[in-house]
Amino acid sequence: MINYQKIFKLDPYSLNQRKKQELLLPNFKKLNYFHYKNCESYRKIIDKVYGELDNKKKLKDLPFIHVSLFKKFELKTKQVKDLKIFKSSGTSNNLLSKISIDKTTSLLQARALNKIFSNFFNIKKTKILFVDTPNVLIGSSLYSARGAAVNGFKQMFKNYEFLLDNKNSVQIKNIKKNINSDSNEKIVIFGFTSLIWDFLKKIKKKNIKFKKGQAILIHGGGWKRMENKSVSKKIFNDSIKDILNITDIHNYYGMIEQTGSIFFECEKGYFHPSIFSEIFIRDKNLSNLSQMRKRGLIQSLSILPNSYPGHNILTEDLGELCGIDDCKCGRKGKYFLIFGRAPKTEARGCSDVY
Amino acid sequence: MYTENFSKKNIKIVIGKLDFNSDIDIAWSDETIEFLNNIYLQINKKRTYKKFTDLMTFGFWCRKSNLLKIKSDYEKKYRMFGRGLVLHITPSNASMNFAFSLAIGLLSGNSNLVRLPQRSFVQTNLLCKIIKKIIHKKNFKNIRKRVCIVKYEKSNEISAYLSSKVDARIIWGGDETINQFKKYMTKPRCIDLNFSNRYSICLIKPPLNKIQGDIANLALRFYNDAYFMDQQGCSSPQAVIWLTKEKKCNFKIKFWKKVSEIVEKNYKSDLSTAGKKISLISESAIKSNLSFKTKYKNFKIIKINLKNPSKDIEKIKCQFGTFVEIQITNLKDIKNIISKQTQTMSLFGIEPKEIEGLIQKYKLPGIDRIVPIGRAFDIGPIWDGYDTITSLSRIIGR
Repeated sequence: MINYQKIFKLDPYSLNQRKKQELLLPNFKKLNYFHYKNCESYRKIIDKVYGELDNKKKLKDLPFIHVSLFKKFELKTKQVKDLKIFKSSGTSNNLLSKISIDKTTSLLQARALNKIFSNFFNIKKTKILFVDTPNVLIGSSLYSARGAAVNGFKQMFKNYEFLLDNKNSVQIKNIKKNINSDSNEKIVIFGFTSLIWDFLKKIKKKNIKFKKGQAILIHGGGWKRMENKSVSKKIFNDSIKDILNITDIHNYYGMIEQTGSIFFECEKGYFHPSIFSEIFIRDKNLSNLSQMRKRGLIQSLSILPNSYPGHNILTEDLGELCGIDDCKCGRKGKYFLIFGRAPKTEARGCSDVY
Repeated sequence: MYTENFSKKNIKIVIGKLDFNSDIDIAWSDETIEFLNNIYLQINKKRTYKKFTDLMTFGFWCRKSNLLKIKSDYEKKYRMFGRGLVLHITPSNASMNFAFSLAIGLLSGNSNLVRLPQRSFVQTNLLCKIIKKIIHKKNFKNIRKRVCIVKYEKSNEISAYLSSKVDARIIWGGDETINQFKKYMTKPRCIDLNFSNRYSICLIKPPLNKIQGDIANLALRFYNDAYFMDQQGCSSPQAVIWLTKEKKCNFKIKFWKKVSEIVEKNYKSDLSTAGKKISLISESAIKSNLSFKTKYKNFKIIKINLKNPSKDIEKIKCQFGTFVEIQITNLKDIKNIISKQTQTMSLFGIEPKEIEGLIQKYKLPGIDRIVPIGRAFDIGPIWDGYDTITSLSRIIGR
């Protein structure tokens, strides 16, 4: 299998695109064969839809599977006992993604997240405040996209607190206590984008302001709902600045199908794949890549999935590639932007649900 | 099972009155034919309607001469009358289906309660306007009592309530819709015409010598059948069967080349359908036990090559320009493909009689329609294996 130790020793954004490709190509080929051998459904897709695994000389030519398949099937690569099924909130037909995670994959996810996080935020990871309720870690919520995200971030920090109680009321005292603490350590505030937006509305008039540079806010997972409320990134960030006095705001892009290898937004406003991941933007013919700065479907690769064939996924999200190796933030490799879900076309035809 | 705890305000009346009138008339009455012919005249009058091909097609079908021709097939021994009130559940994503359904309901002599598609189509609104306008003419005073068109958001309560009041239901919209409507209590003598999910096939026998022009024309007609509704109409071909002994069939190569040209020029695809398309093929790959190979030379025409004919082809769902392709050397080989799901077989180079012969000889469970390629969407009173007019009529025995 993949020599993960070797990859974890590298700085996750240090390789230029050519070197990164060299590192990733053989490893993704290994992953292909591994899943092909051990997952019948994946094998069927490769055999019938792609034809073959060999003779692929470029990363972009390796087979990808569509994200919706995780909603329609329970795709597992190994039949082991410690599998945990994570479920996302579905978008198409309201079905849930069912992701089977074993211990190996789960550990890889945690380590990758830690590496990525540490590169973006050079802090001591003393305290994280979740804009969420403690219930998110209990029962089936733990296996939801939100639960998995909160749990993943929780594991990296020494201390954590929830800013909402189980009735979704804001714990004002908790926030104030943290603001007034003498510690010089940075505080991380983390939550789903839409939850943070609701949170802002609730505390608007409570005069809760962090000290300058005291906190970093990280959010993700919920732009779709935000667009329905027509909240742009600018409005969102300005509101956080006005209400909480936080300017260090980072969006992240991640999916339950590829937990761990998430994409953080850098200081310049771009998302970056780490050495654990790669992205391609595909046009409507799928076999072609979109040109630079042209929107297309985001294809996301992650070297972490071992227990399910989610290492190369075509998403339903719109993105555009903005450059390679030359982001002003200094990180190597590709950088890109995200524009939410690709607009749905109305179904034609005479079959339809009552 | 469902209580009447909804407000009647949630049912929006577009035309007529919701009084559960079940006035009947004799089937093929002069008044009904005049009324439909009036619709045709109205549609035909406006040049601006020309761009709505589905509206034009429906209008053209409503011509008096056409209706009288079809009527003559019905001049049988028995007198037929409407059964009472018919509830029409039309699919939310087809614009003209409701109109045809209503026409069948009227021609069979019934009163009609039509639920319009949820999605708002320009054509639907135009036709409703036309109906509204002419229905008040004094020679249509019976028709006026027999038409009620409504709109409502998806609601079990309303659908159950309406179902309990009618003498017949026409349910379009596929298996899921039908199964849902079967849950509602209806009158003991209420009959249902269900239009479930079907699978349609195109069969081509390449001619021994043909000039190029014919291929272009055939390709265009095929394109209309397949791409007009993203292959999601129940009569759109999902499989293309070639009857030929040639290993490398020139006609076939030229045919696909022409289709490809037409598709490139006319077919609009987008990112969302691209994802759906590839997802559907992968889904079929997992679900079906058939081994097949997918060819992507042109993403707008994906071909799924299948070595041997099998009834399981219907498990390979094809949309947005995806085709199962099979070659057979003997016509009788199609018997291995036909199942109860098979609806329309569109033909080129083969006589319908030959297919009917096979259906009889091998007692095939499917094929309810045999049409030339290009006519897959031509709707008529014989549909899906039913004679819709006779089915919705009360027939006086002697």
